[in-house]
Amino acid sequence: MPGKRDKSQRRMSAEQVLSAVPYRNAAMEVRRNNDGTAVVSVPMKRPRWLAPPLSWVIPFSSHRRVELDSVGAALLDLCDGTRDIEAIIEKFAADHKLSFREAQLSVTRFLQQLSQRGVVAVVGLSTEEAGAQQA
Amino acid sequence: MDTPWEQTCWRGLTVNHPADWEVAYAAGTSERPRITFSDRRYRRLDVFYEFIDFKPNIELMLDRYRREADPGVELKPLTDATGEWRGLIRHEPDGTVVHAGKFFEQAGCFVEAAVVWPDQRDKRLERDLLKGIHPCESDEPRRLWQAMGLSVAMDREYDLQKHSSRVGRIIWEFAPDPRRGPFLTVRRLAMPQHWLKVPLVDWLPSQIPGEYTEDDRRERAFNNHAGAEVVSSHRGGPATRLRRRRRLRLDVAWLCETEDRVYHISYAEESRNRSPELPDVFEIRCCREVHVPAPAGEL
Repeated sequence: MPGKRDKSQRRMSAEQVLSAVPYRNAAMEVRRNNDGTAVVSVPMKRPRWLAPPLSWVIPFSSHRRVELDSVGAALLDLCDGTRDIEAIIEKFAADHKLSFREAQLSVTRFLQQLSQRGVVAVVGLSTEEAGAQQA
Repeated sequence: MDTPWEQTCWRGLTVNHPADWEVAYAAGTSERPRITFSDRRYRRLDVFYEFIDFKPNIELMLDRYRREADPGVELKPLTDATGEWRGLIRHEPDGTVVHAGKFFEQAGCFVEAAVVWPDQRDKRLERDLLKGIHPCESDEPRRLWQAMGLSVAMDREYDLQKHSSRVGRIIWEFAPDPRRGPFLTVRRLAMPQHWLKVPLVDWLPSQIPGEYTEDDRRERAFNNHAGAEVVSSHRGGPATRLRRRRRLRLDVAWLCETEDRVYHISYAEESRNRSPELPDVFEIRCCREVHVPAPAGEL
């Protein structure tokens, strides 16, 4: 049976997650393929410690490549900064005939991965909270 | 009842609930029977139940609960419950929790339900909820398992040994004996248009464990849907061979267009029989409505 503290924490967390808004990284480049898949190229900042002579032996790529399948690419399109996570889940569920909970699990997990790779930034939610919610 | 309702049957208990309250937790065989429902934001209903051979004194339990409760918590008796439900209403700053209990004498089942009202308490909905919680009918040779979009009527000898619910992938494994089997696994897979790139009859062999050898593959209708069937076998370990048996496996799959789900059933047994068959008392109910969520503004 839910305790007082447990319940209030759960409520805050779920509300925060659903009302958070994911934004796409404006600096990234998206290359779309004919089959609906996409390749996202996210610019990376060179770490301070990666200076000569370390940089002579440790390779550094200026961009991170993230490959998305057609479902992932469609979800990324929904992250346009106008929809909150709840609206994205609803759209995703309607498009793929899923229940809210099924869609919620997929969308939050996917957004967590994208935010860890710097593809999107979720405003109103830290990465740890996104991870805690999907668990 | 304006909103659509859904029936969930889990380990001998039936719960009728609003369709947008989904199963958030369902206890497995080694745990105390429990099922929890939540809506988009909150946990809404927690049901604990037990099959016992004595009649519990619910009034005594409530007295003990009152005595042990935090003095700052406001507790009121539940007076407007339906049937023989007895309980307490616990008011908290961030909502109300209604704790109710009932003993179903015929089935010998004691049920404890906690209904969470984050906003205002809806007494009508609460009455309907409590009215819709009862043990499943026990006189049938089969038991209904219905939750998370899957509905299986199964021989009573088979118990649910394992279950998992990953993204768009519900898996239930039944067996009368968890060590020896036979094992019957039901999988319900969502979004087939994205991963099912070949006909089912070609996809199904890829789902068979590597140690099995495919003996037969054919198209077969199941639940009025075109599907596929694969029979495979494995010579088994030394003990199996000593008993002059083999491990046989039957895989059946079909696509339910109404639900947009692929159903995959696998049945594995040790037998001398060359053609494994699904248990006689076994039925999967597909073509059920999928409750796609309404946009928040329309709720």
